[in-house]
Amino acid sequence: MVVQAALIGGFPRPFNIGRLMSRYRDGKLTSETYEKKIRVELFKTLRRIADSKVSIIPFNMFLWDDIFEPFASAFEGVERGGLYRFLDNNFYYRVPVVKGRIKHREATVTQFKMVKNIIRESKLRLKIKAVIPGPYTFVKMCENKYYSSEDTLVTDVAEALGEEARILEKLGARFIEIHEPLLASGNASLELFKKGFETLTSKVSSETWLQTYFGPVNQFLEELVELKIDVFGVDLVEAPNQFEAILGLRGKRGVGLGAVDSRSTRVETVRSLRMLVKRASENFSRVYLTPNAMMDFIPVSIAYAKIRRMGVAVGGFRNG
Amino acid sequence: MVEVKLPVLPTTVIGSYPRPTWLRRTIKLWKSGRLEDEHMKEAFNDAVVSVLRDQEAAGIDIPSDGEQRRDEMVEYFAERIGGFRFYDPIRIWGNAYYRKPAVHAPLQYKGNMVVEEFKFLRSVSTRPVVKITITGPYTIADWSFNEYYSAKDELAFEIAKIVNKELKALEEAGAIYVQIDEPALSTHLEEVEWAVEAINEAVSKTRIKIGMHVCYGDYSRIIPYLENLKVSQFAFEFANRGFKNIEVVKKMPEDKELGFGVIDVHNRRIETVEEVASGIRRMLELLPAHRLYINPDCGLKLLPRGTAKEKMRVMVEAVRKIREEIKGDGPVIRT
Repeated sequence: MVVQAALIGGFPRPFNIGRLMSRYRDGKLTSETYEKKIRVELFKTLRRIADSKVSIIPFNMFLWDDIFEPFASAFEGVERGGLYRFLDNNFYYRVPVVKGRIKHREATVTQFKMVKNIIRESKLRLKIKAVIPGPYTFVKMCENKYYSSEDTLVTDVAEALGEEARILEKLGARFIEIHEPLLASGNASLELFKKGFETLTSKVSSETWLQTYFGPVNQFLEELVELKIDVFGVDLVEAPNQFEAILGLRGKRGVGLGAVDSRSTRVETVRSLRMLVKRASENFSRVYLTPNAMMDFIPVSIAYAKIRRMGVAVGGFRNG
Repeated sequence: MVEVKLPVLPTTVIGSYPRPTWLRRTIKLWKSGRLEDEHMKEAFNDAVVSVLRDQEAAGIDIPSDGEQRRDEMVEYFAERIGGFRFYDPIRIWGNAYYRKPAVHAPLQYKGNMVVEEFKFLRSVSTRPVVKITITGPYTIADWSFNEYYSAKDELAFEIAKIVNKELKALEEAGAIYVQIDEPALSTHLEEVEWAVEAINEAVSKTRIKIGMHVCYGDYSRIIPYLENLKVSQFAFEFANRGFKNIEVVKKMPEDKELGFGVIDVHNRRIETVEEVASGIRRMLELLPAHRLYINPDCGLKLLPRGTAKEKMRVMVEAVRKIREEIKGDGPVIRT
């Protein structure tokens, strides 16, 4: 049985790092100075996370402005556009504007290598996930000025994202974490989602972690179990009622229990988290306790307080 | 009773304006304890005069004080209402941060929050009408962490009572035009119904002209609720989205005006006069001129000051061009 604490998507970017990034983007810092400083900050963050007994982290941490940023900047055929609200949060992303045929160009490899090296050199007990936006969510949240059909768009997006995932897998990503919050939006097109997801996952052989948030996906479970999903990451904060349905999945597949509220400063009790983990561990051989989404929405001090509780909550379960 | 006639397509701002560099440095000194409060107050007043002159020189009909005293639109009010506390800043996009407040105790109105801002602005502006902004109860509730009240609606209604007290104080001080900022309104559809009630509670029993600003959301989600809102104007952002879906305004109630956002405040590129004019022409096919005010999409504070000023000049020039093309009276503010 495996019971571990894991993070999802991103971690709050401390204010001083934000200032550092701004200075670099404004040309006030050389790339050497910037990289040196970022490595130091990354190391400090990773060490605190490892000390909290979190075992698995997304590599992007505080490096990305939003979930689409590196891909919208790198992929051929896509540009970064205006600011749009990220789902229902007071948090904004630059909309990827699709202006031509989408083709893969390396987007996150340098960052992945940097994080991996820091972990290896510092001997931190952390495994890394590759993180990518799901093709369905990408299609629904981008501004499409080129493709005449969403089917073609989702296929090209999935091909490009799949290629990125394949490279990160070769570099040692333990999981491919695929963010599909739009699947939990209440009016998702399952067919379009499946088309993108299957195209993407056909390109990778490492384990896939489907991450949904801010709503339930239990209405799709029957269809989702047919897909190559090794870990189901679900939101139990905004959609606690789906817990029972998720428990019904059982088996070797892992479950990501999104039980820590990434949008609230109220810090969960260890007891409440342990109860959920214990219950899930009766049905699943692998249980990951996670926030319900990326933690960018809360102050970094609160994020640390929450992950410390997560670490305590998973302690004592027999791993092996 | 007050009655002010405005030119057709009156130009205004949404609220914030870039702080002069010297003000930012002065604030740093003050926050580090190396400047006395009275000198800081003097600097804030001087900054208001400076940015007001920028707006007036650009030709803006209804200027604001640029929210020079405010670091952030929710934080400013949370600092002045009892019951809030702060943690470290959180990111809102890119490398822009704000101090998101947390409600940890019952909220209390501790006294005037923006009345002095209004009085000073009124005393130094050459324009017959000035705009003062207040962040609305729903947005303050949505953009705060709630550690005390049992539900968000309970929190929003408590804030509404406080905003209402402030609006009455503004009215008493002579304000005739206030804008309630509710950028969060379009984000949680299931909450819009009670959010509208909370906003109505905030503006109840006042005679001031109330506008409401909502930005960066899907307007089609809130349009059905607009007729129930007791405000006379909605200021929406359209330039950032390339004037996409502007047809949505046709569904607005006929007794409401539109503050039409024609300048992208998140892009440093300065629009051309023709670009802005063409956006206004498109809007004039949808709404009559007497229901239109022209403004930037949102507050200008994140732009370099020179860029903000130039964007305002372009906006006014575009409006002047359109005024030559159309005839008719402008709106009248009556309180």
